Amino acid sequence: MEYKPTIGLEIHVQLATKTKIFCGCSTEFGAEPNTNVCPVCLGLPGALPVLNEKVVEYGTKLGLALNMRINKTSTFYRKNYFYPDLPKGYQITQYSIPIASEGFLEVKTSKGKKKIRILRGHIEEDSGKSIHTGDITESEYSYIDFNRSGVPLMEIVTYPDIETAEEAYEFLVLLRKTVRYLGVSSGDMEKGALRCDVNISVSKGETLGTKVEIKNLNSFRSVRRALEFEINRQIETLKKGGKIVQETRHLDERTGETKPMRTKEELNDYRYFPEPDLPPLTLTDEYIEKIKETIPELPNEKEERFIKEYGISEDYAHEIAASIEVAEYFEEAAKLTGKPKEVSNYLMVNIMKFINENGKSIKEITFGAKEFKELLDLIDSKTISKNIAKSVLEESLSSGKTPSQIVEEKGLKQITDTGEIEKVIDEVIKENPKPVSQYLEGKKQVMGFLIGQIMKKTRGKANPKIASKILIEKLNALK
Amino acid sequence: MDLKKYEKLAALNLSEEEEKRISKDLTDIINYFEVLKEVNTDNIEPLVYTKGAKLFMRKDEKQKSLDKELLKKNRELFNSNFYRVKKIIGD
Ligand SMILES: [Zn+2]
Repeated sequence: MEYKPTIGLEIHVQLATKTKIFCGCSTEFGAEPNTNVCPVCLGLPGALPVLNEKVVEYGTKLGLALNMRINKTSTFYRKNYFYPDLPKGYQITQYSIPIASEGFLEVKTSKGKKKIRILRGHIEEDSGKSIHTGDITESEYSYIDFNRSGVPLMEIVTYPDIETAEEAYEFLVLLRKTVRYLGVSSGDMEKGALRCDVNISVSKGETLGTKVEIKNLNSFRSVRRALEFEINRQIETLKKGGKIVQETRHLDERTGETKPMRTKEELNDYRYFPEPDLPPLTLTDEYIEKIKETIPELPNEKEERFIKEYGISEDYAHEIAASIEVAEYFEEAAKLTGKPKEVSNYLMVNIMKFINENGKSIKEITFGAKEFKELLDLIDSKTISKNIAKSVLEESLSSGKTPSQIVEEKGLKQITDTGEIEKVIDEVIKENPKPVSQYLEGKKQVMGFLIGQIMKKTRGKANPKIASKILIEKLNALK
Repeated sequence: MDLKKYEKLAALNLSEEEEKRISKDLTDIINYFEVLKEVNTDNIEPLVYTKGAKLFMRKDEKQKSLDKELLKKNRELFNSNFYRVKKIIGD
């Protein structure tokens, strides 16, 4: 029997509100330390928390998008622990009844689709950030920036349904797509707007193995690496007759190995109790219904619709639906041109390449649906060849000029005038006696070379179909 | 009851005399819960909030944060833009 990993994720999503969860301080990222602080988020005596309604709205929206039940009454609790970046000595969070319970996301992996269940989603405040100068073991002081203290988070906890590093990775990717579609979070892992802790054990059979927690994974790649390493480490340890220690580990980014983190396990006693400063949060059916109406078509739904409605490939549909902006761009162009396959092709091959190479977003480019139609019409009317179309597209992307403008200015109109093409072909035949005689001896491969010569002479403007038809006629006449 | 554990959790340093007194208080409190446990709570929803007030929410609008010059006045606590505290990470 093989060892089977059991993995659960705890993901903190920073909700994209302008102000903190319990006070009016700004949540702006990268502000000068301790500029966005007030008595509430500094935990000064007597200061009282007042819940930000946008946090409730975003939490409800995200819960619904993750197929969760929204609890009409949820409660706030104090989670007590002593740490310098936690000014009140407790974190206000939700405990027994969170805002959202019981949902799922369906991820696509190389082995097919898989439903990963979500246990709960609760809203809470972030802590401050400790900064240590020099060696952490030697410095006498901790320096704290409280700008992050009180920034709203929604913690999403999955069931341990995940069995591979790939599934965990795909879950995170889909979650990020979802929060971005909804506009409830930037989903930027580098900026800490999405943070992931994982729980993992391996076992043969039904009894679960000893659970190890890996904390502070701050990129999609780290999650994947840490899990791949840890699954292997646990299996190898058990195979050698060793034991897994229940502990918290972290990923060493340099080596890709997970290592034990020094923590005081016995201190893991949070003594939760109800927050006396905040009455329970109650939501009406009408409120929940109203939020439901604001949820757009989500990534998986969009992907499936694109395949069905536009007949584009599954891979392209997956990539296009990954971003709501790209999806909207595609759909507008597909509708206007009536040629979704061509649009998806140019979009994924040429346009995305341009965007990635130039660090732009799809919203910044001037080549939109109208220009797409112009380009495809130019091909349709045989004014330009598909080959020329690519360079026109690239030129249009970088210069901002319209396709017809470029065709006009650069004289790129395809030569369909047979007389003109015949003249060029006569020249090519004359200048290349050797390939011509090879062709006459039966070596049909030289056709490619001769067509190439014609294209060179016409700077790619000869209509390839007409050119090869005339060329064959002329060569056959020489026999 | 392991009072030492709770001292540590609350980052308190109690004197022997205080320990004795608090230990007795806490034991009394815990014993009282034993009495409360006898009450039949079948079919009764857990109560987490007793004041009966309604939750008041605020709009997502910025308010003025603290003036940094004010913070800077306390040089022992506020040092080069950061709050400075004795390091507490153990071991
Ligand atoms: Zn504040």
